[in-house]
Amino acid sequence: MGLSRSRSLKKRFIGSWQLLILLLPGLIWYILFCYRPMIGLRMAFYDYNVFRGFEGSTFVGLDNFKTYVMGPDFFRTIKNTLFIALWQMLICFPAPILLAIIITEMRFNVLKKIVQTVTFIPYFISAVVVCGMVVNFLSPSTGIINKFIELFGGEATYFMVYPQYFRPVYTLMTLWQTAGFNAIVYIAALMGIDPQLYEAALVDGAGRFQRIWHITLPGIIPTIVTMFIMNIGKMVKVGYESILLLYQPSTYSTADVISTYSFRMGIQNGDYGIATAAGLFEAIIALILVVAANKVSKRLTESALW
Amino acid sequence: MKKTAFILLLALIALSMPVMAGGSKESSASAAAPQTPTLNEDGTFHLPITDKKTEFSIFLNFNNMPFDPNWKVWQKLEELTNIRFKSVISQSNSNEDEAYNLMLSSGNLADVIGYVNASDLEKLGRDGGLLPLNDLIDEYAPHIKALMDSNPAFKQYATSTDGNIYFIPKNQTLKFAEFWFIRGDWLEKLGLEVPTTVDELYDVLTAFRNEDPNGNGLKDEIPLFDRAGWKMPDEYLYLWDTSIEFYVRDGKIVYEPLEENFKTGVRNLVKWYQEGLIDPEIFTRGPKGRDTLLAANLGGMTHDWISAVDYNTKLPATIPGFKMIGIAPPADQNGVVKERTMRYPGVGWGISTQCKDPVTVMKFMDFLFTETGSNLMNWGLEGESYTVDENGNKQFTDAVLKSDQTPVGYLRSIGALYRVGMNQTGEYEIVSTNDEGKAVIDLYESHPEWYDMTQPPYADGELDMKYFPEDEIRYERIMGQIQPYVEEKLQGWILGTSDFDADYDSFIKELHTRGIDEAIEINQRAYDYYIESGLGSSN
Amino acid sequence: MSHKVKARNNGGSAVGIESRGEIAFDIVVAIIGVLLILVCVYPIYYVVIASISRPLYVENGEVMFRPIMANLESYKEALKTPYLWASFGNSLFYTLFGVLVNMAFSTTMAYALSRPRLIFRKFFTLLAVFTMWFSAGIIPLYMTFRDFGLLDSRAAILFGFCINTYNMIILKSFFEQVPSSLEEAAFIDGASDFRIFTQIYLPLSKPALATVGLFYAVTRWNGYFWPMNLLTSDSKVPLQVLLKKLLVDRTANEMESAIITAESLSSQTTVIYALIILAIIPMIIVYPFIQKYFKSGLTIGANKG
Repeated sequence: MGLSRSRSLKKRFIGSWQLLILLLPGLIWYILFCYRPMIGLRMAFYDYNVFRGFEGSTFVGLDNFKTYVMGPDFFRTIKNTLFIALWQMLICFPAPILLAIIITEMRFNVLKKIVQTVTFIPYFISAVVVCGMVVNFLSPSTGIINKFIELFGGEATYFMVYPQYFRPVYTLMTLWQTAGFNAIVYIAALMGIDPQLYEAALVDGAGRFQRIWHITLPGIIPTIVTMFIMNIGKMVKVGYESILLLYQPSTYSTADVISTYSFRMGIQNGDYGIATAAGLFEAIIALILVVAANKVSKRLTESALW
Repeated sequence: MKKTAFILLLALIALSMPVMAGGSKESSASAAAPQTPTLNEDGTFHLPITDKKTEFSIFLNFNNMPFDPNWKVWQKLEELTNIRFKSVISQSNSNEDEAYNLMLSSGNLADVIGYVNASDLEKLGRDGGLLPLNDLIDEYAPHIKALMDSNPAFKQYATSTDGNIYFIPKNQTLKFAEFWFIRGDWLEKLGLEVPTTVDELYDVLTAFRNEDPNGNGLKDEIPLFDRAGWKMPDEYLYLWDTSIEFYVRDGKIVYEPLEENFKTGVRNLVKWYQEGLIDPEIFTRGPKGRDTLLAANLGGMTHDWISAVDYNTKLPATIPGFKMIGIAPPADQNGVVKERTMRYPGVGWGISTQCKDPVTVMKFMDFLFTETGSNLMNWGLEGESYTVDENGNKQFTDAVLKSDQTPVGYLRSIGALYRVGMNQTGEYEIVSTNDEGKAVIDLYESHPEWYDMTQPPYADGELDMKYFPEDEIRYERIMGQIQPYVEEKLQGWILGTSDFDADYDSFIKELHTRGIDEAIEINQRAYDYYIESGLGSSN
Repeated sequence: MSHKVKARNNGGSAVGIESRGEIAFDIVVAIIGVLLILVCVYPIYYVVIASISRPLYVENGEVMFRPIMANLESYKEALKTPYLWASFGNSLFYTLFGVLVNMAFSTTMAYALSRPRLIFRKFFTLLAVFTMWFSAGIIPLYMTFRDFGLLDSRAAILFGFCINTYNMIILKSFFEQVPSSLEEAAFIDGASDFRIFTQIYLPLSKPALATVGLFYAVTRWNGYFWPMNLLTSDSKVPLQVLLKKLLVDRTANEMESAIITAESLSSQTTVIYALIILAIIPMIIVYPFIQKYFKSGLTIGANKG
């Protein structure tokens, strides 16, 4: 048994040596620039001192994890991280799919081109500027959003300081910034659907919605699944930069996530051990979700990322 | 198959473990070359410091202005001393903290290092990254030594708890920092007196709010505003002699939120905010808030630096009669007048253990404390940024006073007033201000009793003391959990999302749970050390 | 085939059987399109009008629908930024050559991983995918660059970031969609894997290559963090690092910057807005050229089973 297995391995090796050579440059890159630095993650188990390196730092075992988990911010950061991920999943993830369908369904070519180009541009504006604009636009006295609210008889609201508005504001900002860019993959995928399928449906007298439902969506399901599994991790790893720019002490209760905590501990307090421990926590949550999503998708759609 | 994959992955990680090279440290070799003395026999500074041009690498990024050897002041210094510095970060670097940590982690330290706070430099010193300068100062830096002997606060700020001096601080000659400013023309228009107590202030601000001092018929005045919105609620608490910080009362460190005054302060702050006396958008107004609120004729009063009076020259053209005047701090509820903002010596620069020739650098650092060096660092270049009249009085030229930047901005753009060890005289503030500015400076200078000299140094409103190494880590961890909590609660009360009196007991309890008592103890130890190191109250 | 594709591009309904529902649908879609344009364009339009207005009116919120006292002072100031042109050139360099490097590493690896024949395929895929959720963090990566002697080198920027796993998976999925009959036929003709890859798969994958190339280009063009920390010579720094510095400066230095009054023509904010516009222009020029490749389609999908 063992012999035949090793023989088949050898055979497979011979059969794919050319592929291995193609694989090699990428593989080497991964090992050098992704896995080699990963050894630094052991920082989480040290009272780490940047200048002295690992040799000069004390090994503290799980102390850093304990400090984070027992600390008063633990549940809140986990809860907020998951909530923001959930909002992203429910709103920011499906939006580009919808956008892509709208763009491909659009009949006026000029309009279509403009929509496609214009929705893509926000991606180029850096987070600092976008956050600055959000604060401007939401200002209760001068912001355009509040001007509109007042125009329609509402009352100006100081959106930036009340905790209940933080998640919607953050989600809508992310949506605006990324929807057009993320739609590109779906647009490209939609273009790949065999036009004969549509013609057949047309002959059967299917309406637009029916065609979208029965042809378009199934046609890009594999794309959606892959994108979902790949993005779920990203959603959990909420970027701290925008949150730092948008949050206020009064909105910590909904805005403080693992990455902002890790930033405060690491860069601001110089406590790299705790920062890395919190970061590892985040990665583990992401990993669990991803593996789960992969499993579920395997069962439901018979496709998976690996 | 999947199991094999995971095992292989783990094996790969395990295999690459040893590859990870720990930062190999090179021990530095001090130059053994015989040194010329710092001073000539007649007591003048021996120039140039080195016969040949000598270059040192430097890490400094002050307010996102990385050190630039092309600054005119530093070119002049190079010409005089033959010493030149080369920045180890690019001019485009905009994150000092990251750059600093990355430099440390790379193990290649610049010869000369300056950083934003003293405790990090001291930590680096204790870890063997910075040289203790005590002996070098004794031998090669007569001017710095003289200043340390005559100015204990300066020496104390430079000295770490292990007795070593790891960096040369930036000394501040001026004591005053921020002042209270109010619209004098509004007071006049409404027939009001300058408020002298916090209660009178309340009445004046209410009048500003209700009696339309800008005369546009709208109730759009913003009586009390500030451009530093992120720290403001805290500074307004000073009006009731409290804050969200530590404070020294009768030699004991107290944490003010635990004190009685805090209740009075917060209750009033909540009331003021609800009644529209405080800028409703204060938290997000941002640094340009002062410009827009004053130019739009909306803002009534602020607590700010001397530059607030500059609007008196710029705005009357569009707002007839516009006048900001400086007033004394309003007396608190107990009738005591205090101004809590003060200047303390600030952080400067140190010499790394990888520097090949620390003696020469030390001499250069000393040179900045000579009259020539000090003039360059405070006034810039003679003939260009300042002139000296026949009586020896200096005056800034129009290049400084009438540039499109502020005077400080201009001086910094030529390399003066940088964050290095120097004696910052602050003349630029006095010389370049107008009559109202001079008046407020005189007012605050003539009342030394407003300034409580028993307080240890603060930086940006936070205690800036020397801690023992093991205390320091503990302290940062505890405060890392307390400070955001207190800020969150305070902002919530002000905004009305939660009720102060209902929250109070649980708030205090939570502070104790999060370890405030230990933090107070640590601060008390640090304060006792501060007093013991002999110099606390004398000045 | 081509006329069918065209028909599809014209909106999904091929022949002229237009019911009322169809027309209503088109109108609704068009209205949504216009709304989308407004939502996306307004903030950008705002940046443009703010960049040419007097700063006081920008700061106090009066600039909303049209510029106030328009002038080009901010653009003049923006163009005076030190190292602007050098950094612009650097950005072009890093984007152009960076994308080439990205594509070389990503396509080869993606192709290899897309072949079921590949030995330890699952392991290698997992190895790549795993890095999407676990990464080492800033300091360890920096130390790696240091150990390789790559600090302050253009090579660090080009080769330190060869593969974005996400993009590589897109390519891999695309290669998996190509009918395997093509490969089999080529094999029978005695072609090597290298030839099949370069002469059959790459030419077939133009849409995927265009999409992924665009993704890489955007990342390269927008990247600032590592260039800022790895490059210490001013001559090597790309545009985004400069832009970032101005943005951060704005918060740090405003305490000592000049007072803005109604007479001021430009301020740091308006100069930043001007620079943003300048920095977006190259991408807006390039994008429509890439857009046309999408027509031929790209499907990224997951492994069946």
